[in-house]
Amino acid sequence: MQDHQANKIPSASAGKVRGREEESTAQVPRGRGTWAALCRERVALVCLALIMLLVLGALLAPWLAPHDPNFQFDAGLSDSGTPVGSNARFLLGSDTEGRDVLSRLLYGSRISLTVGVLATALMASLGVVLGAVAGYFGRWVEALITRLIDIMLAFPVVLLGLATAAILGPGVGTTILVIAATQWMYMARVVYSQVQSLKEWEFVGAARAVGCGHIRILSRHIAPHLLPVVIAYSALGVGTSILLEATLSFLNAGVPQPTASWGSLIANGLTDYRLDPALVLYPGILLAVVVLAFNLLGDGLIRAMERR
Amino acid sequence: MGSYIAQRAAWLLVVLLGVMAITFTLVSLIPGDVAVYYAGPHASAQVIAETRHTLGLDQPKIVQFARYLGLVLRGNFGQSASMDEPVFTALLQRLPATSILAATVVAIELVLAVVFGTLAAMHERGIIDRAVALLAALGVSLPGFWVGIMLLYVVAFRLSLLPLGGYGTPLWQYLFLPAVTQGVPWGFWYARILKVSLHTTLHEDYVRTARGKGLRRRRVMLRHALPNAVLPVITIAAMDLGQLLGGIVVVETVFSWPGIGQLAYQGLQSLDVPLVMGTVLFTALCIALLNIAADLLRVIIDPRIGLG
Repeated sequence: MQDHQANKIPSASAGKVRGREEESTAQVPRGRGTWAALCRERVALVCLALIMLLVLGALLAPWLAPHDPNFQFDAGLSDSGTPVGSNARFLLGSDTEGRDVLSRLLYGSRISLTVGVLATALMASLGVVLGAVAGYFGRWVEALITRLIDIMLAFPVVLLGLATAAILGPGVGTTILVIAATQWMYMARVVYSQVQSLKEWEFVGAARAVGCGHIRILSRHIAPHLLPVVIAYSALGVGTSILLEATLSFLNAGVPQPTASWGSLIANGLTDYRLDPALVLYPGILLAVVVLAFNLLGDGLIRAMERR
Repeated sequence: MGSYIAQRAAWLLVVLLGVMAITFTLVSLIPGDVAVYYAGPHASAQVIAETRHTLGLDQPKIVQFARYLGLVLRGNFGQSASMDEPVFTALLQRLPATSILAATVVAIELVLAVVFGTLAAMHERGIIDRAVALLAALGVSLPGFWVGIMLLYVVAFRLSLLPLGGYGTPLWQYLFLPAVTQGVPWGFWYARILKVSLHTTLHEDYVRTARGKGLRRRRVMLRHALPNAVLPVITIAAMDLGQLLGGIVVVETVFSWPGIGQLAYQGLQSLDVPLVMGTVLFTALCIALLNIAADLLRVIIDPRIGLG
C-alpha cells in the first residue's frame, strides 16, 4: 500500500465537486459526494459485501463451527497418526493434532479480523493526531514529527515485531501494538499533506477570526474533512494489518499457539506441509482473499474521492 | 556535490541516533533485572551488585544510552546469549547470504518492473496492462511465507526439480525459489507503479516534441520517457526497503536460507535479546545507508535534481 501516499494523494485544494446534489453550496469536498462516487466502484462494493460476509462468519463462529477449535479428536488422526482428509465429520479435514480445520478457520478469522481492526484503529488514531498536528502547527513541531516518520520508516517492521515479541512476550496485545507502532507513519503522511492544504482555506481563517482555539479548529473544522481520506486509508490499513499479523504469527512472534489465527494455522501447517498441503492451502487462500478485498476496497474509496 | 553529501551524512546521523534511541528504549522495557540475568541463577547478592556495576546499570539512563552509543559505533553489538560469540561477528558471517538473496530479489524486481511496466504503458488497457494490474494487486495481498511454502511443495517436493531449501552448490538451485517468492510479486507491483508514472510522462511536451521530430516510438519510450518515469519508482522502492528486508526475513525462514533474517528468527526462538536487537539495529543502519544510495542514484539519472 505504500505507493498510495506518493501518487494518489487526493488534493483537497482542487475542491471540484461534481456530485449532483451540492454544486452550489460546498467549496470544500464533503463526504456525501464520495459515497455517490463509490456506488460506481463495482469491484469495491463487491469487496465490501465479501468483507461483511466474513465478518458475519466470524461473529457467528460459535454457532457455525461444527466442533471445538482446540479439541484434539481421536478420530481426527489416522491409525498412523497423520491428519485425515475431508469427510462428513470433519468437512475440511483435520490438522496434525487431530483438530477440526473448518472450526479452526472460523475461530481464526475472529482473531485475525479483531487484530486487523483494532491495530488499524490504533494506527489511524496515532497517524491522524500526529499528522494533523504536524500539518497544522508547522515549524519545529512539523520538523520533529516528519523526522520521526523518516526514522520509523527506516525500521524493518517484521524485525521490530520479532524484537518486541522477544522482549514483551508474544500475545494478541503485543501484536496489535507492534502493528500500530510500525504502520502509523503512512496514515500520518497522508493526513499531514491534507491538513497542510486545508489550513489555507478561508473557513479556517474565519474560525480563527471569530476566536476559535487551535484544538477546536482542528477537531471541529478540519477533522470532518479528513474523514473520507482516513476511511479509505484505514481500509488499506486493515488489509496490511491482517497480513502483518499473519506474518508475525508465522514467525512465532504474533498470536501464540494454540489460539487459532490464519497466520498461526499456516505456521502449524509448515512443519507438515508435505503430509497435507491443504493445511496451508485453506488458511492461505482465505487470508489472500480478505487482504485483497480490503486492498481493493481501499483503492476504490481513494478513486471515488479523486473523481468526486 | 560535497555539501550535498555532508547534508545527507548529517541526516544519516540523525536517523541513526533515532534508531538507537528506539532500540535502547525497547531493551530497557525487558521485564526483570538484567544484572540477575547476566550474573546467573545462583549468584549471591554481592555478585549481582558487582555485575550491575560492571554493566553500568547503576548509572542514570542517559549515561547508559551514551555508553550504548559508544559501543555500537565501535561495532560492538554485544554478546549473543545463545551462540557464545559477539553479535556483530554472527551478523557479518550471515551478511553475504542475505546480500546475495536481496540483490537477486532486487534484480528480478527491476527486470520485471521495466519490462512489464513499459509494455503495459505502450499498450494501455491491453492484455498486458490488465494482467500487470491484476498480478500487482494479487502479489501484495498474498502472504510471502504462504507463496513460499506452496512453491516448496509443488516445485521442490512434488516435482523434485529443486532442493527443499537450504544453501549449497550450485547456488542458483537454492537461490531460485526464495528469490522468486519475494521478487516476482513485488516486481509486478513496481511494474504497475512504473506504468502509472510512464502514463504521466508520455503526455509531457518534450515527449511529443521527440515524436514530432520523427523519432520512433520505441526510442522515445526507452531513451526519453523511461529515465524520467523511473525516478518516482526509485523513490518508492527506497521507502519500501524496510518492507523488502522484512520479506527477506520471512523468505529466509521458509527456505532455511542462512542469512540475517534466519538469525533473527533463531534469536527469537532462543529468547536471545542481544542477538535480536543487534539484527534490528544492523538492518536499520543498512536501510539508512541504502536510502542515501538511492538518493545518489536519482541524482545520477536526473541531473536536474539539485545537489545544493
